[in-house]
Amino acid sequence: MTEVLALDIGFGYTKAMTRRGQTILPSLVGPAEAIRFESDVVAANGKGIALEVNGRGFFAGEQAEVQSASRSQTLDVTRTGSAEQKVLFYAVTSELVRTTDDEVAVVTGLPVGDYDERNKAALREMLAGEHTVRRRGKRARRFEVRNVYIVPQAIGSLFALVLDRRGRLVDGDLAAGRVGIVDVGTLTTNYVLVDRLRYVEVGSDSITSGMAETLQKVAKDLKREYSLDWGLQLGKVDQAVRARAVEVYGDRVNVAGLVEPHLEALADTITSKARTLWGAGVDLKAVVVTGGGSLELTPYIRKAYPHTRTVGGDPQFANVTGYLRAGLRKFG
Amino acid sequence: MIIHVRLKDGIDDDIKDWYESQGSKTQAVKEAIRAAMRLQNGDTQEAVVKAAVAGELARLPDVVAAAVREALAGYRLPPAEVEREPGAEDPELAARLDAQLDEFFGD
Repeated sequence: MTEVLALDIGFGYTKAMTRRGQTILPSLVGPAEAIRFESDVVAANGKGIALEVNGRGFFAGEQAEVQSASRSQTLDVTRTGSAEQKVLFYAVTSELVRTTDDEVAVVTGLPVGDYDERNKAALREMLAGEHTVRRRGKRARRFEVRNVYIVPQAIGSLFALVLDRRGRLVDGDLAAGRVGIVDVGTLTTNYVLVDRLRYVEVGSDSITSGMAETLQKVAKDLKREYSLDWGLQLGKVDQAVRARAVEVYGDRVNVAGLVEPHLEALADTITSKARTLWGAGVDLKAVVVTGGGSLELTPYIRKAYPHTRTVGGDPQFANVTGYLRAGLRKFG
Repeated sequence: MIIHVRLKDGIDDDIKDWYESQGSKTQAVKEAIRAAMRLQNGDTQEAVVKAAVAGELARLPDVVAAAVREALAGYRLPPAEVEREPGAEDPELAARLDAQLDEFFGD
């Protein structure tokens, strides 16, 4: 039986899901040529992923941050179909694809701005075919990806809302309307317009603004105000933004006044683009805000679009949830 | 044969009223006489009433059809709503979704 694997390789995080489980890891990849301590590699913290791809060793996720001197920065625009993406693909399949699975169908997405034949072909070439995933500490997995299905990234979140776990259409009300989707990612924000479940290309686009922009500005302010040098540890900055607090010499300090102007500035950029695509959104049934940045930005976007909706659950998984449900509808 | 009958004021007013209200007077008088004859010959009143009603019932479908035709002249019946099972997919939206997925997944 073909296993359907939903895959979302984002600039910040890579998310994947099958019928049986899900996984997420930071989209960080580093070469594993210079292993300092073998014991570190064998996943002492449970988060280490050391893999072999195209005959070379790599660390993926948090292990890359710890081990690799020259890890790929999260905020670099990764080339579609690159070896780094393949490492991330192998990292999630080493978690989710069983050793007994021999055939896999992948449903994945591309940012709307990159959703063209060239990028689709590059991504398909990287994912399709026979794979042997060798991960330290785990049994090798051998499987073949016979089919790769690629959709515009943010549309997965709509599928997550209108389809149930088996891929059956359950929210006829939302499905019957015109819906705008704003997917706030780490580096990009994707906009997708759907009219009664049909993708409308002229109302869809991407911008290269995302949560990283805000996190970098906040990191700069934290360094200036509190000497916290977190410029290369955006995960810590992200936690500070969510908590609106940091610890300085053991004391909890409220940083809401520092964080909120930056969030507001990003929300302005995001809603400005939405306005150029959808105007005031009067004819939209709803504006769905999704992606890792949605938790922080939804209150600001709602000021411009009062009919804003969120996806529920963890918004980072909304796109892969939709990819999986669409895949199960077609092939489940 | 012509039958003459004299009706007296104050005594036969009920017959006069009935006679005047009949459309086809000759036919009405003949039927009234036959009904009286059947009663004299041993039929019960109920049987006579039944026979009269049966005559009217035979015309009933035509009468009803004519009345319905008249009432519905120029009236358009709204299309019947297609009832779906609770939780069932809207077939039109499902078809649109499948066409979109075929487009995404087909290339």
